[in-house]
Amino acid sequence: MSQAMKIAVAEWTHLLRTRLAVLTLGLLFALVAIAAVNSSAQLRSEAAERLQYQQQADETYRAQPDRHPHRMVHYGHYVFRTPTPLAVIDPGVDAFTGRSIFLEGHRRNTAAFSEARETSVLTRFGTVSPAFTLQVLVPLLMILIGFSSVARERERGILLQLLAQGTRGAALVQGKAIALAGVAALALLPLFLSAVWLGIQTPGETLPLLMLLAGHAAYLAFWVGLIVAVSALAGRARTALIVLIGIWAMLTVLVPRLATDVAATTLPAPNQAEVDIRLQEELRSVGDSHNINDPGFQSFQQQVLAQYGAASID
Amino acid sequence: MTIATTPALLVRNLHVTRGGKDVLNNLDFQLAAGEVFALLGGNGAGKSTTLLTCIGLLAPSRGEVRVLGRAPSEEPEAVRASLAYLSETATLYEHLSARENLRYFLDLAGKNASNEALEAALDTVGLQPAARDQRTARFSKGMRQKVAIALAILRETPVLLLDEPTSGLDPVAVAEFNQLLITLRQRGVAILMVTHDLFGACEVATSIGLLRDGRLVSSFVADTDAQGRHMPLDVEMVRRAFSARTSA
Repeated sequence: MSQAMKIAVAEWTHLLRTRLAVLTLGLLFALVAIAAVNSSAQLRSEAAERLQYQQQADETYRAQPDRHPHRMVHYGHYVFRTPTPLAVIDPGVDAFTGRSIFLEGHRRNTAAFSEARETSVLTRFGTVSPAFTLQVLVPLLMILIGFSSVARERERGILLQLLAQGTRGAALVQGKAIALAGVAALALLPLFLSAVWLGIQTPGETLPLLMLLAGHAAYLAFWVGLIVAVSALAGRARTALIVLIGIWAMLTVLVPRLATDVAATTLPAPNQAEVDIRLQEELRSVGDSHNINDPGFQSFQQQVLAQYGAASID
Repeated sequence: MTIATTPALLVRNLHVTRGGKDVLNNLDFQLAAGEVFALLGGNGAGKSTTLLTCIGLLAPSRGEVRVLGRAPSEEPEAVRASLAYLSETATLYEHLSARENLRYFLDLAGKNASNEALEAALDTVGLQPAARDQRTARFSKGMRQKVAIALAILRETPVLLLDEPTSGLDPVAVAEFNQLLITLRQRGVAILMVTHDLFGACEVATSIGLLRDGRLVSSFVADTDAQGRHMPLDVEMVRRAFSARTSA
């Protein structure tokens, strides 16, 4: 066994013999597992609910008396977004964009029933999905477990003892990183098991699932490197903790908010009113399809009649 | 140079600069197997710097250090494998027992030791059997030092570096520790010890040096008896000489 692996095993022994670390490890595993189970149950219930509403909407639509197709388009139809299996892990932007949309001729309706609009501001921070847990909460718990990994060795004078007896500094840092990567792997285990289960249920989603898993593994590997590097460079464990909490707050709370604000300022998206006005203007330039004498409508009618070799619409 | 004539530790014309200041200035001494050199001096005299340079954690700005003929700055891993360092605080992993600490440190050093050898080392240092499986979190400094010395014994390193090993120990523990050093000395271990304890140094050292402002200002060598055994140095004589040097 290499020096780094020996140090990693010793670090795990330390974690398992320290109450706070065991508590944090348990909390970390429980959080991800509960999020996965909760997300799966919620998704199943929502999928059933949406299917039921979709069937109702379809029945209502089909139950109409025979009408001109144009009038049918005006009547409109509700459609509900069907969640993909991957939504068990990451529900994506559904909470912001809404889960259903009313399709209607000549109108651009926005999606309805978005949780972010209808509930508190906390919803915007994220729902407790496995993805949210892994992206936001797990790095925080990893910081609590790993901030002192190297710094405490220096503070207690063990670092000097280790170096003096020939332990390589690089091996020490590698060993601490391997141990913390083990913590990250523990956090990823429920996600991995979910991915296996989902892969069996829906084989077509295996590749996206693997990519999602690999993405989260790479993200947590970034945190492992960051935590151990800060712990190695900081003179004291307390300094390492403060720096890491600051980076965590910046990356998980500030940057996402700032990024959307910067994007909105740099490339402003047109609001609903602007889109409606632009739509009406474009429609007007084509012509009024409700007015049989409109030149645009007349031209379009002639074009369609010529296309199908008909003399009149009768 | 043959192996027989190679000193265990050689410090020649050593200069070390830290933060633009000369911490060690033209330091010279050497140590053969079975000798104990006690380096005394006030705070900031350069005692710990000497040890860190011998380990290779600090580089000389001039001069040389050789441990069994090897320069720590050139072959740090080989040098560190041949010496044991005991810090003032004798730090151990508190979540591990005495035995587990020994196993772990030995494992990292790439050294295998049988259970019998481990128990024998703990017997030599006088750590109570009941304490050997207890976590070291509640160990006194004396007990921690015993474990650290046991580690040095088990590593069987020919050179031992001690940084103020008796500070904070009660008189009984100091006496036990000094007796242990005499045992190691008799086994042929070369020991460099920096200390404030003049009495202890006179008891165990084969030579003593006084370090002031990075310079070795005076030194004494213990006499040997007819059988070649080192006699304790005269504390009063050393104290008077050091007092004269310090007030000079």
